[in-house]
Amino acid sequence: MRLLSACSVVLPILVLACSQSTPAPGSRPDFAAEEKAIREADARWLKAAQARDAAGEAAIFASDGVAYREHVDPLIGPAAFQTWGAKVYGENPRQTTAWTTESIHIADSGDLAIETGEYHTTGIGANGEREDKGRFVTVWKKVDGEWKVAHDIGSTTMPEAPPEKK
Amino acid sequence: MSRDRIDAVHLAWLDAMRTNDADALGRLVTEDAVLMPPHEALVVGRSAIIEWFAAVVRQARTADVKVSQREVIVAGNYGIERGSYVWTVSPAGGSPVELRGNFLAIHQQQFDGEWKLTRNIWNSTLPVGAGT
Repeated sequence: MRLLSACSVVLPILVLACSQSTPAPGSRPDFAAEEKAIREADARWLKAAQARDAAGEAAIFASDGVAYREHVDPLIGPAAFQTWGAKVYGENPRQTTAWTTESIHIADSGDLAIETGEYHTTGIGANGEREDKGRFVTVWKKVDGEWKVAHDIGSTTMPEAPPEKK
Repeated sequence: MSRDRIDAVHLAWLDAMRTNDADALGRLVTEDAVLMPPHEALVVGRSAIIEWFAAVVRQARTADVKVSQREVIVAGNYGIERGSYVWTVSPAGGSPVELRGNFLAIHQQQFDGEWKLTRNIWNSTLPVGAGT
């Protein structure tokens, strides 16, 4: 009887503890599905980049998305990214960029994700003779149910170029 | 509350840089944190980060660092911090050099509730060849 009495007290506490720590069904983000959606959005961006489609790339950005590129001021918003991209493609007629994803971490809130990886840009210059390699971090956020780029930064791993001759 | 704690890490980071204190910098990062300095290999892990900044200090002490256009987003267990920096370093026997660029830092809340920096990447807005 004493044992039964003890259980009758402890069990409700355990049940209560479990019910408090377990999220209600449907409240926890489906991380696998979210990661798949991010990879699909990233694939669309890569396809646009390979096609040298600055407008297509800009469309991946959130309306307040920011891109940090080497040697230029922050590009804020899709229009700024498109203008910059079109200029770069115009000045570098053979330039294309490819990248590989190293990791994707989704916040437990399910509405923000961090992607890291490496990029490789080839065909830089009027004759396409230069290349650049480096790393990137992309922050994705969910906007109206769709994953968009909130922040994107690249940082080269190539040796530093000597000062340009004047 | 989370935002306040991330801001505190940010201020402590700047303070560690200004005082050229590699150990203090190390206390602000996760055990598996990664720095991505331009033109360099990845710096992986707290110990490597302490060694990296100690080596930077031996080469050129930080005279000052300023951050502008800073924004922070907090989402669950992650905090995203971005902004522009001006990092003034004094190479041994040389004149001070101003490095300018943009950064993105990822903060992650730990199991004990503390926030620590887990990724930091930055680049340069200076003209090619003018330094990072």
